[in-house]
Amino acid sequence: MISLSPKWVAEDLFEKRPPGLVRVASIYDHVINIYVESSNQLLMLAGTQMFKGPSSAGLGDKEFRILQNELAIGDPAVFDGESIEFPGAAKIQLLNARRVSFGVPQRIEFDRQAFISNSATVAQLLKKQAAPHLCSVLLEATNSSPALNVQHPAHFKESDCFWLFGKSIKAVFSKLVDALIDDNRKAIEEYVEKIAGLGFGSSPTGDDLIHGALLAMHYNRYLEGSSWNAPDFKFDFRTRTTSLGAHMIAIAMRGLTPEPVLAFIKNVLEAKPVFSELKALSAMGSDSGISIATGFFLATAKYWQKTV
Amino acid sequence: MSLHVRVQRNCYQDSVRLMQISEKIKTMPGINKAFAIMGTESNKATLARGGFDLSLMKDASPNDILFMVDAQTEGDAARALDRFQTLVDEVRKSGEESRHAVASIETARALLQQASLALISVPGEFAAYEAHKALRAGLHVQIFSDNVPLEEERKLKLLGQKLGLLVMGPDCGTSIIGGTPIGFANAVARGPVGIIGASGTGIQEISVLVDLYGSGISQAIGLGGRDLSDQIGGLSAFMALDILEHDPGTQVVVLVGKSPGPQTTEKLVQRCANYAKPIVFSLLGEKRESILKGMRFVARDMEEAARLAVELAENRPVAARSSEPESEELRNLLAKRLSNAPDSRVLLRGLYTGGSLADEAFSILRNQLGTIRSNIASDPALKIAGTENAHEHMLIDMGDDEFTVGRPHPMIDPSYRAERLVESWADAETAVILCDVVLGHGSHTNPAGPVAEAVKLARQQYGDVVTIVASVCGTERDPQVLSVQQAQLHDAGILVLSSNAEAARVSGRIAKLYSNRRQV
Amino acid sequence: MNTPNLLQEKPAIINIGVKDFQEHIIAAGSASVHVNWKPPAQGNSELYKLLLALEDIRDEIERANEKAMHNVLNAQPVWIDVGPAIEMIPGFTQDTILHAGPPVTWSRMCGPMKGAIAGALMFEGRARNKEEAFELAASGAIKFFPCNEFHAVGPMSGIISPSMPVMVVENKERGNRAYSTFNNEKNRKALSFGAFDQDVQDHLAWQRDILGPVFARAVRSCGGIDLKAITARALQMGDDGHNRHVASTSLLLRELAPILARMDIPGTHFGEICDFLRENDFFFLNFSMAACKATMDAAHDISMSTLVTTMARNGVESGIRISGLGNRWFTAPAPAIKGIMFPPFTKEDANPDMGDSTITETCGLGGFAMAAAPAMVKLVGGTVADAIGFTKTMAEITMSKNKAFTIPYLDFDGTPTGIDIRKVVDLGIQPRINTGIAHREPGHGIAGAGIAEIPLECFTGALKAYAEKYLR
Repeated sequence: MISLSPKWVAEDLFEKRPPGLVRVASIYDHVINIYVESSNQLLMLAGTQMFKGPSSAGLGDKEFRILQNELAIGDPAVFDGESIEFPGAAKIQLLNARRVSFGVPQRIEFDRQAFISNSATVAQLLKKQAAPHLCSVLLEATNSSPALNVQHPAHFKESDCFWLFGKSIKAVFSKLVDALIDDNRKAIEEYVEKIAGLGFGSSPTGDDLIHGALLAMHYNRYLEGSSWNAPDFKFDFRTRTTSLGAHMIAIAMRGLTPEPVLAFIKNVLEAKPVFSELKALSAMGSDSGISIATGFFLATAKYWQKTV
Repeated sequence: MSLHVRVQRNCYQDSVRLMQISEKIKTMPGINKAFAIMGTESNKATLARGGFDLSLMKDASPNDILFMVDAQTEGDAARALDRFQTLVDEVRKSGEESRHAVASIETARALLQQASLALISVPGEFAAYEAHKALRAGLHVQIFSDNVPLEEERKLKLLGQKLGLLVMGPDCGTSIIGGTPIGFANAVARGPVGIIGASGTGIQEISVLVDLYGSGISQAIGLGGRDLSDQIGGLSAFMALDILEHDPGTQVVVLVGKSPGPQTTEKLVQRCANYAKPIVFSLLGEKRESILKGMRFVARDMEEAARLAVELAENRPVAARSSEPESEELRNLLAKRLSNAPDSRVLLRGLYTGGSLADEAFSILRNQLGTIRSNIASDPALKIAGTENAHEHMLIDMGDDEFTVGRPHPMIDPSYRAERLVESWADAETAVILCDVVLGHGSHTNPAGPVAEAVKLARQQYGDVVTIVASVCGTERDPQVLSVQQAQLHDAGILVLSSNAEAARVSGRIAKLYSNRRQV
Repeated sequence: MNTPNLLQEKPAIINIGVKDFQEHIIAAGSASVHVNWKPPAQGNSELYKLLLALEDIRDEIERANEKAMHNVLNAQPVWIDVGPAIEMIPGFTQDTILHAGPPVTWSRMCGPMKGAIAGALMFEGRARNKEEAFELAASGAIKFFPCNEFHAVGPMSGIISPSMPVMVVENKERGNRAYSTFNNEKNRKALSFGAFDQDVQDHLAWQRDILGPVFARAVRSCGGIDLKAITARALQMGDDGHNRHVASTSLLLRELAPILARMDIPGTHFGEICDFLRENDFFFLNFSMAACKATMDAAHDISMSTLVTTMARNGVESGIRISGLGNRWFTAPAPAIKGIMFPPFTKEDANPDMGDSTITETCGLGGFAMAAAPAMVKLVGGTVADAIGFTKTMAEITMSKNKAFTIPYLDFDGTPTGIDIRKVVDLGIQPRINTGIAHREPGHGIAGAGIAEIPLECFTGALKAYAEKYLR
């Protein structure tokens, strides 16, 4: 039994009651995903090349490779809140590792006017990065401020099937944002259910957009001095979408998001340049990072335009 | 039109790979659309709306993959779906096979039979050994690492000579070989000018200026910082000269470096006397005038070197840039600033990230301003520590060793030069700040950004009393895009010149305006 | 080697160090391979300085190694004879007992080796039981030596006593000879694993009285059996030369059967021999080992060569010998074996690594040829990809590939052969061995199987000695 110490641990791993029995869901080059029966969230063991994020622990190269070699899909493990143990193989001690927070930071220097003036630049940069991805259907603007009632985007060809999915996303997303801003719980649930699981990628675009929009509510309400609780959805996300997609929605419901998104959010809200942060996000998944950024930005832009 | 779908279970492939595979399938004959998507309810419903057969996918769960093709015939579709499967399996297998990470140069050589060069960037204390192994494996070598003992460098270059292989470096961060940029290099046009450089940013500056003047680079060979010293005696320089003499793509050679040893310079002069192609010398250093006396093309700075080279290579005149390039508007702004600035503000501070750019600016400013202190001055009377703030004109190379221990080079992490910029602005004696902004592969993704931000912040906090001058070493083709970088600097009220030499001269002239104003 | 043209378009570049540099090189259209560099000698600066200094005499080292490898690759081991050890092995006396691994005194020997020695002494008639045998062994009357120092090799405890029949293998290319016993595993019991009961005694007697003499006549009559050819074929049939011998044993039986059938021997003997070969999946092991020994001995004692010519373990220590360093052993404590225990045995029952069979890895077979025998993973754990990876990793520390032994799974690439101590120390990659696990108590036989490594300390010790000898 090998004992492994992670280089860092997400603080949120200690916040809820530990799930007990879990199992290995998938093993990739840079991350091992662990399926938690009792929750929508995955538990992730990240190698050094993977970005830091909630519900995860990060291992050094050697330790990560040991796990990659030792574990197989379906292997059981026990997470008791202090450690994750793979019987007969390895035990990862979590308690004393460096803790990293992925929630809303205490200090964000937000100025509404500055944000609004900077929006056009951000929209332009986002549009450029998002161009090959499904979420770009939401960024075709009719005027200089990002609008959500968009025209048919000319540069998508029918042959790419994007339009097939893009139509649904466009139709639903703006309504979802409105529902979130008004805190209309029933409508939120209706629209989330409609776009969860929709789109490309192992965390489908719809889920990433939901992630971004939920985060926007957490952050913007915080900036206004109030807090916000995401609604308790009646359906089980894991029946609606992939395990990774369900995970992305679950963490966003708690106001948590991975490091590259945190960096983007901070700069966008503080009206600082987001060039590098967007570049980093385009390396996150095939389009997850950019879709999350799009969801966050559009929801935030609308939020501050509405509240006077 | 034939829409087909196939379900792949238990396939844990990441989405980037799936996308790549889909792209490959799309190129198959008779295929209109092809993609892989997860089997969620929403996706299934959407696909059904698009005409795909729901019954074929109804058993798919959200974590299964659906391969979709829209093909001209059933046969085309079946072939494509089979190929999808094969490629996904292949990726899974090769993922397992590639678990063997190549551990040695020799194994790498066996895998890459056509390899001609080894690029070594391990810590300096171990670089010599790797270079030996690379030479023995029959490879030319570029050693990016520095802090390699002098004696090791000599041994390596002598071995290289014996084996007919070139050793570029140590401390060689830049080269462009066969059209491929290696290390910190810019994306420049291809053309007839060859560069042999003992300094990285020297090669960079000359290459971007040659590009700016409408020509291009055939090859840029780095030598490492010590090659032209008498202890090494130009072992690589002479080999490089031979190589470029025989290269049909090179018409003119620019030799750029600093303080070559006297014996080495003499040998260079002799060699160049019977060199088949014109050589432009761009050598900094105190005694160069006397040593290079009699050589035809001796440039006073890198801008002139690039210009001469292009003239010789392209056989056309290239106009020199004006030395007072500011517009009317900028002149007015400057005048206003000069009258507003407190009398104490009379000094120039150069804050540099590129070593050779710093060297060149320092040399130019010494001639212009007289006394100027620097952490890279060879004259002990002028030398200061990099962290010092002198009460005289000052130029700091922030890429020098004392700054880079335990910290990335400022070309990669621009934040601490930006901080220093704000500090300099705050300093009541500062009148002019001179900066370089270096683009290209390996540099920060947006080096102008932090400079512009720092300037705006400083101006806001301390007033519009300092004139800030910069040059951008880059091209339109560079990932950071020259014009985008220049625009950011412009918008921050920075005076941007197109070469380092020009920027240095202009900043020196403006510094004089500040100090003369006090005398009035 | 032709020097490559520096200025070729889009040069293919090998990148060592910072991986990021590769990104732009590849984006520009050049091919590139990245080397996963780690500090040489795991950062030990003393060893690093030695490695660097050896570059100064590299030309001479390469010449010596070329000579040594020529002998290795061109060896032609042929089984030519059989006879009692005391008659066939030069220097063997009535009081000699040879054992596996580097030198070790009786008091320090591990359980299985003591058990095997007891069995041998009982077989020689010099003791009636284990207690008497132990007393005799401890008395000093018996002289213990490593097999390897007598041009011999033995698997597991590797015990060779005077009356035991040994095979004589001659390297036709150079004329040198090597020796080994015949594998004595029967019904899961073997002297070599430390068993010494009556069954073992009976089998040893049968080997002495029947197997040995019959084989002697057979092999002499046909002029010799080419062992290299059998190994080469067997490698393409899923054998690895160390732990899987089903194919090679079958091929050997194919060679022998027609000869035996035409010899004038009692039918029962022929039957017994065939039965034995049929039941013993490891029979060819000893032949493989002796062939490798004859090969490596031909490359031993070449001045300045950094080739490893012996790797052997005695259950207490593992040791190596180097071509350019004569008969000096470089040893370290034998490591535990990572693998699978056969029920009802557990890890506590495992004996540390033991046997001369690593002569096969020394010669590019066994773990080095694991890609040829991916079924090994069932025994030692892992995936087929791991098996292929093993061989690729071993290629990092060897001087050459043996074109006589090719591996189908690697596109018929030759097995990596010829371990270079410089590379082992530089890369920190230890030769990896697939091996059986003996029970630590004498008398139990085989308890499991797995993967072991020769300790790095052996190689660093050898390198230091090499530098001292040749770097003045």
